[in-house]
Amino acid sequence: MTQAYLQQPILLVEDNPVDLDLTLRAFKRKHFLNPIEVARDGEEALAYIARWDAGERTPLVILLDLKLPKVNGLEVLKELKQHPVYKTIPVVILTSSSEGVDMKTAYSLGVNSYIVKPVDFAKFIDVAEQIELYWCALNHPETR
Amino acid sequence: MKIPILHEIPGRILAPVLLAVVAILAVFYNHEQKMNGLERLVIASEQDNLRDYLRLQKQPLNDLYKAGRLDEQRLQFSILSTRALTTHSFVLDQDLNLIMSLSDLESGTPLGPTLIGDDTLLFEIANSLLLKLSSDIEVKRVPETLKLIGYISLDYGHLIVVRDLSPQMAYYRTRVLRMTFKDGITFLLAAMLLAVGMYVMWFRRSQAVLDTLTQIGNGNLSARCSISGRNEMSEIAQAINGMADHLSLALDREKHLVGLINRSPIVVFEWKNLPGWPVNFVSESVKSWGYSVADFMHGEIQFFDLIHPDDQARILEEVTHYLVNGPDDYRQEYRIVCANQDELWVDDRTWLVRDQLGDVAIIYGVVVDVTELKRSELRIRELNDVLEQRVEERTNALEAANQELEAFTYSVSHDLKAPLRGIDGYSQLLMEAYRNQLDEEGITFLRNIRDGVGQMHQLIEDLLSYSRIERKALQTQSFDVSLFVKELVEYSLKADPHPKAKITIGIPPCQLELDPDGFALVMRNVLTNALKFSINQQLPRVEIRGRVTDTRFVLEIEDNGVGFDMKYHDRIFQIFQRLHRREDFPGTGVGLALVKKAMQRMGGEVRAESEPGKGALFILEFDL
Repeated sequence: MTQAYLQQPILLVEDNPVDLDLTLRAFKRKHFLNPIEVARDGEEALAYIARWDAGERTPLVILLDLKLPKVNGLEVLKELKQHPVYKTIPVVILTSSSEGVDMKTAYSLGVNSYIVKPVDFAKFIDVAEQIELYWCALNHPETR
Repeated sequence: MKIPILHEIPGRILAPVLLAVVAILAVFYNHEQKMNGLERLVIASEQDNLRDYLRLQKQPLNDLYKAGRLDEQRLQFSILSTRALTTHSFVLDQDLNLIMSLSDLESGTPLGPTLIGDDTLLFEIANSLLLKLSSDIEVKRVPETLKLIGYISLDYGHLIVVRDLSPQMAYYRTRVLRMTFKDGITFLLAAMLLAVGMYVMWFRRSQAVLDTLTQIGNGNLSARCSISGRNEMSEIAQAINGMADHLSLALDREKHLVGLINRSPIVVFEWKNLPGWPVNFVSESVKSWGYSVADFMHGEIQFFDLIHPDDQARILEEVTHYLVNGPDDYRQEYRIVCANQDELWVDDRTWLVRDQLGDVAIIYGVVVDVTELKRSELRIRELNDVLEQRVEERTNALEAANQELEAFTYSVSHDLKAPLRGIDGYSQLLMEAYRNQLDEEGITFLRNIRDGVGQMHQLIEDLLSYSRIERKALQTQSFDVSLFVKELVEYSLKADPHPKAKITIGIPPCQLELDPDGFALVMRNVLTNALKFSINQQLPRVEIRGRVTDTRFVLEIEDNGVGFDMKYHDRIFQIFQRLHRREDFPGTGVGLALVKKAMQRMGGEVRAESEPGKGALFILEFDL
């Protein structure tokens, strides 16, 4: 069982190459086992729905940036959380915005967690660790 | 006393008649007076005459009797007795027997009525004279007659003479009558002259005055009375002329005024308080509406029909109200329909005249055409609407621009964080992975890069907070400020402890209606500020005091820090303005700008008092 969800991927939706690289490095630093799949914009993220329908593995958690090209993070969130099947996939917003409005909207759309990206890389590594710990080890996702 | 006939007869006839009557009466009165006087005069004079005559007779008759010359005596007697007016004359002896007489009576006849022509009255008087013999000589008038009877005693008897004055009187009367006639003629002539004079002097003038007055009365105000001199009539004439002058001046003025009204956009009405408001008077200016005065005066048009059908009900209701309840002076605006069906807006200023019972008898109205004014008003309103719309558009545009700017600030701030993360992340990775290949200087460079990132990050966060104040809607609620501040300070110190600092709070309990987030932001920043600038003191001290005035709640935060020069008072509240070097006191220069902005948003005020090196006092004022 543990094996099963360790092989489940994490979907990272991030457009900024620097942020993407740093995030991947932070997770790597913590010897992260789950594979990380990357979507570079909102459209790409939503395209995963078709792939999951086609039988690909659904992610353990979706790490979603808010500011995205084409379709923004909140729209992606809304689409996902309204989906009859995939609304149960945990979505964590990982963004630089600490605006109350953004948080409120995200939570009202059904987000599972809202995390502000720290500018300090050391803190960022801590955050990555916490995410891994909680969403990939402590949290028991719905089994499919 | 009123004698009607006197009022019926014109003065020019009455006056001469009265004068003639008065003249005739005067003549008659004069005549009567003269006649009365005449009788007395004649009788008195004849009495004297008779007395003289008797005295004259006495001596000769006595002498001739003594001498015994009877014939001569007789002659003397007859000569003297045949004097005019003497009707009877006789001499009696001592025994009262006739001696001599004018008549042919036998001597020796005793005294009796026959001696005096059977006149008993005369006889009685003669008899009484003879019997009394009170004096030597006596003359008496026979009452109610013009007869005199005279008596004188002789040596041998008595002489009695009777005289009748009638012829004498008749003569005098004729003369007096002639004089009276002459007087009468003279008076009448004088009266006629006077009448003519009066006619010339008075009646002709009064006629002229009457003619002038009649003309003026008939409306000919140019008629004047030309009577010269300084008599009463000329004064009356002058007064009439003056009156006519005034009247024609007043008439001119009235014409002028009526002309003015007729040429003005004003129409003057006098209405009867009857259904439909029939018109008593209307100025000719009503022509400007296409109606004639006659239309109204003949009752062909009633005023109510002129009022626009859409306004009739309202006007009727209002007027009915005013007629009953007043005020008696009011204004109404409504539309009227002209003869050519054009619509005019009018301003009707009305006043009511009430009778003694308080019922409205007459309604006066000055009706002014205000169509142009209304049009302008409408135009102004339209322009106003356009203006308001434009203002709204501009406001919206401004708000949009503001929102855009905020969105820009927000977006830029967030976007700036990503590269910062990159710089920080990679510099840390560099430090970790390549530390061995870097010398001390290289490591310092990297550390400085990371410090810069930290500062930049703080700056961006502050900038975001600053822009957030504008973006965030105020959510007012009531809270106790003393409790709130206490909790806030405790919480702040827990997050950022200042063990050296002594913080005292003295705030009376007071409920404030404020946005708690805004208030917390202000308090946090002021407190942080106070602690930051007093941290280098040996005993840092911050005192928070509160007091309530009539209208405001005043919060004072005093520290014993470095203070500032008051010439920078305004600058410390401006964004990114700093008075100290970063290495002395860290900061971005946003904190007090945040305070000022938040206070403004909450309707409060903030100011500071300080001197360099003597601490600073920040004063926050909130409306109660």
